[in-house]
Amino acid sequence: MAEAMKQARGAGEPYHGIWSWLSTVDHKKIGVLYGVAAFIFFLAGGVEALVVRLQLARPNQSLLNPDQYNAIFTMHGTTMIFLVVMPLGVAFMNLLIPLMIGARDVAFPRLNAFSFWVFLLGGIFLNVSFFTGGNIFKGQLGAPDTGWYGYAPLTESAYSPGTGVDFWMLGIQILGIASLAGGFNFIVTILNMRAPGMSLFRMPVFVWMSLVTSFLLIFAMPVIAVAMFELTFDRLFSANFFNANAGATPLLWQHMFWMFGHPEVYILILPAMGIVSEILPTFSRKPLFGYPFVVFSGIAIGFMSWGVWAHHMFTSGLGTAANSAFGISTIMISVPTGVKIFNWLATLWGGNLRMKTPLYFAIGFIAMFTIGGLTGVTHSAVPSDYQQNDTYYIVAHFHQVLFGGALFGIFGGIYYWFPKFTGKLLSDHLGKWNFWLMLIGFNLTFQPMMVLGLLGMPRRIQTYPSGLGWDFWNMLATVGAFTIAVSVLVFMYNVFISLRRGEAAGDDPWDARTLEWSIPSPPPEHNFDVIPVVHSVDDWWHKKYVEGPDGVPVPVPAGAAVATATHGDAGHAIHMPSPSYFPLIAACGLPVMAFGFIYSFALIPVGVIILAVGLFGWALEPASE
Amino acid sequence: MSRRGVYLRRALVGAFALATVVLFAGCASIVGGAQNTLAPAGPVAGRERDIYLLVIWPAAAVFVLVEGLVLLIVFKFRNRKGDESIPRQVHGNPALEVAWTVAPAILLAIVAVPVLAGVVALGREPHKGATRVNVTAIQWLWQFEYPDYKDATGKPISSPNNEMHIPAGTEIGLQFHSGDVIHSFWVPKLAGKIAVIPNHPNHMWIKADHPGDYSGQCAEFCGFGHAGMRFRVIVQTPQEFAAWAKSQGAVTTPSTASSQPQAVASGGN
Repeated sequence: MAEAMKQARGAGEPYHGIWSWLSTVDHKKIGVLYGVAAFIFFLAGGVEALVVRLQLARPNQSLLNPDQYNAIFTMHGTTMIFLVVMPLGVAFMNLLIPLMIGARDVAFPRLNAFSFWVFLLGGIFLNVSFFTGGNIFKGQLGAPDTGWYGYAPLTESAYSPGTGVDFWMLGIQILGIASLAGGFNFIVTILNMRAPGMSLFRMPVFVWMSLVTSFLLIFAMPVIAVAMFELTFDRLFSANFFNANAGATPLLWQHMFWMFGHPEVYILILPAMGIVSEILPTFSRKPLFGYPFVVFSGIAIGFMSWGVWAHHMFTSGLGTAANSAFGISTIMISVPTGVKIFNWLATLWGGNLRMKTPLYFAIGFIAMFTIGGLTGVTHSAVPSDYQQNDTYYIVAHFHQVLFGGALFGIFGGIYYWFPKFTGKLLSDHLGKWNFWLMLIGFNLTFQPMMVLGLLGMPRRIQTYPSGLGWDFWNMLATVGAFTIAVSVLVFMYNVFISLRRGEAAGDDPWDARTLEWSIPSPPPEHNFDVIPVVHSVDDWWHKKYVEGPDGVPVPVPAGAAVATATHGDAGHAIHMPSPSYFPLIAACGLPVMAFGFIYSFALIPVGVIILAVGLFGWALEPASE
Repeated sequence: MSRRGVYLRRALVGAFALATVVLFAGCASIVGGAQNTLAPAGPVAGRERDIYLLVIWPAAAVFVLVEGLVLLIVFKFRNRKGDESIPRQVHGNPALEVAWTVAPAILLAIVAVPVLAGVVALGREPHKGATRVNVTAIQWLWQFEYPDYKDATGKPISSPNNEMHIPAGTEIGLQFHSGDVIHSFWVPKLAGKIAVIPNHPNHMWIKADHPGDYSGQCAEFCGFGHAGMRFRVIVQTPQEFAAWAKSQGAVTTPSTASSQPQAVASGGN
């Protein structure tokens, strides 16, 4: 990827090679960094999943002892949520938002770089915990082992005396800072940096979904931050927020966690919905069916996501009133989701579907996400959830949403936009192998889990006895997990081979509809030589085609379209933000402080000084031009 | 047909065949299993199963509709070789969109009625005459105490750890206490879960239709020994249960206590 990105680098940069990456404030490079880092974490989380599946493949296995198993399933969940699906969504937001709204960068480029470095260091910090449990070669894992949702009081020092939970709470705190900074940055970018004529209702749906996601981020992250601060006080300074032995009601933790946790689910899925809403029109060569409905249903999901948190707690004993109310709100949130499914199908209906890999993944998203949505409805039927809660049925459900949904959308997005940012097309042939293996592996892994849940297999158990009817389904799920692993290997090979000798993409390989396809692939550092003037939704398409009286478009005569997309050398006069190391330096202060909380308070001022040096340097750094 | 097409078709057929096999195997295995939630042995689990089925059938219909549309669209509208035509640009159809917003909302509103009735029925306090059991969960075992059955010293009798005895056909009122972290009480064939939370006493009523031996398990992750935190519910005929209670040292039973209820109550205070 580095080779291809070399071309993306604008002329006249003061830093080269790895230094240009460490100091970059270019949203495209930051997007690539987010994507690559999240993919590496994806491999780590994937290996953790495979280890879990090996342990559960047969009954009464002891490949992992309970301590190891608990650490690995906790890290699998934490990694996939905070270090994979969230940052992959953010990678696309970084890469695409400025290009789609006709801007030259995000509103705060250095804050953007800071977000990335904080995220990366937070992710590394979390994973460092593996090495802190004694001798890792003897299988002593120091990683957190209380689940990604960390229900108090199990996370209290009395029950989790090691440092694993400390790494978890401080790591998520650090990642929250990255998310908050990113969320504010994207909101300001979308609201303030749109090209002339790009009114809110001319924005691509992906930008809309990014806007909703960003608002969810800035409201949800503070909630988890407060919860984590309280836990931090409990663990480090003997406070009693969740200390049941001192009279606390640990139910408080569940409320705060899911107040964050349910909007979080939509933070994970909305960017993928945006991606799919871009892919479907391009490959069916029709506009999105019912743009306002899709946008408003996304906004509705954003609002409603704040009123459903207690459906994670139906069995916590909140009483019939609360269970009824949250049952109804959960039933109703499936309406705006269903609307999207039908609008997407109607977009495809009557199209001329070019069956390329991105469309495969987008259709796979619709097919698999639908299953996740429908199993979700079975949970909203509260008494039914009393049985399914905390079983493999739930595991199946949220993987249908987060893998069958979010990851299928994200893979579709990678195949779709890879040529824009590298100038090379990914192999369509390998792409389809990737897709089919992933689809088969996905169904083989997660649909058996629905059966397991119905047959009474709880989540988070390190092993299980034989004779409960679970053996066959567990083996099937393990086979499926390894099939998914093969599909990921195919994907990696595809990226590798396509970067080396992939077909050149050209500016607009898919005959697409949105502004990013009007500029060269890869885009110059300043994105647009001339800031475009926007006249409609899908403006780039309308520069290429004129809609005839019967709704059938006619290509604009050759030459007319080119006029708006001339690649002049006006770019040299454009002022772009200078690269800076200070965001990286400032970010380094945070994990140092976090280590200080765990090992020695003396490190905390060191971290504060690093952070302060970074921030002062950042504020006072003169522009290089 | 291109080689790639052949591969894809084979993959499709293979996936379809596999799915069929899995489906049949699934139907076969759903009959058995000691923790099968679809084979209830009491009214609580029965109601939960009924509500699940009530929702899963319309959900299955929507599933068939959507997946059928996906397949239909892919085969009907896929690009034919050499066809570079651009289809009519349809931007939407508000009437249609309102219809597919309102229709599921109505369907779901209808489903919500039995759901809410179920919430109320299952969430009520146990009846006055129910046999009471106090359940205590600690890392990593279950303790059961019978406040209606007292031994000679006036202490409630208890069953051995991880073994709850109850009479069949009688409503049981369960009270839950945790001695440390959060656990979750779950006997899939008798009732769905209820969390056992410190400083947050929960209650649940259950009833077993027939005598038998039912498998239960902690369903909330509670640390190192979570997977092994299993227990049995031994459902006996009322006569057998009474005999068992005696064998545990019970002197005062609900029947003897009812003749002098005030004495017992005031004695406790």
